[in-house]
Amino acid sequence: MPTFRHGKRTAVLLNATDMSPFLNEATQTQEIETAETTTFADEDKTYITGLGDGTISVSGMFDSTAGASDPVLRGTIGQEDNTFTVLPEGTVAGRRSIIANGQLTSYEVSSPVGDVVAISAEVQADGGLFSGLALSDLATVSASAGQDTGIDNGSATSNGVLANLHVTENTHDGNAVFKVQHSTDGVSWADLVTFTTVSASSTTGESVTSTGNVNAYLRSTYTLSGSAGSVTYHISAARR
Amino acid sequence: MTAYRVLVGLDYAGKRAEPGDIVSDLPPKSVGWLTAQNIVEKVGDAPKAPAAPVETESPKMREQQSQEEG
Repeated sequence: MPTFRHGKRTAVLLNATDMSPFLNEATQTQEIETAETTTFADEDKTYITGLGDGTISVSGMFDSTAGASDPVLRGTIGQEDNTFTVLPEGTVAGRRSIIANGQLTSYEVSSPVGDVVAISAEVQADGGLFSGLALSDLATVSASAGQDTGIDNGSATSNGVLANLHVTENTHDGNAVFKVQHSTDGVSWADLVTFTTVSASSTTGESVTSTGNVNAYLRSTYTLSGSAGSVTYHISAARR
Repeated sequence: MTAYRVLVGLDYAGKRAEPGDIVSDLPPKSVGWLTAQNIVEKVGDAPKAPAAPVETESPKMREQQSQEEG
């Protein structure tokens, strides 16, 4: 039986902001160039694959209040290294995530006389758009440490991962450290990606790339120093 | 029990080990892949470099000494 998902659960995370309350459409496009290799003897054109590329387009409603759609998107134009995650199946761990690090290449505000003021934006992936998995829910945590359930890919891969961290809310009074770990057996876990330490009450988005071997199991972990407050975060990883 | 030096940060059996730590309670099931991937190394397994001879007198010093004595 096919498993279909309704679009209403889609979530879009941009740097330190959960953009989902402002958006109503998200489209991710993965492309790969082809180079023609047709020769005189051929009856049909032939090609080999070349460079990959990707874009993410979003649209929704205009909101000019602090931290809402307009200031966040407007502030992202011209800014390097933005962390984008689209979750077409919702923010649940183990579900599909489309992730990239990239640049916002367009931001449009439209004001029709008979409708709500709308926005649209396009992101150009810088270094590739990848299909991965959410390693965590969009979770709010306050314990000193914890980890999400490991996800088994079935086999190891050899080309590293792109991992995206979004910390969308943070009232914690100490540093927070987030990691992606990998394992062969789901029993012992080695650090694979360590994100930059998030200081007290800070929010952030960060993309980190690893190279080389990635074992079959992946999971995310967090460690909070300090004693009060909570952190809301989401981590995805895509094998390259 | 066999001891291992941790080379990459590691969580196992509800514990955390940082690079440089020496641990001796790794899950037997994990030892193989952890060593194969250089995440831990068996302590003492690495071949020791031969100790360099300690030279108390250089040939030049010996030459000077014999000239002084002569």
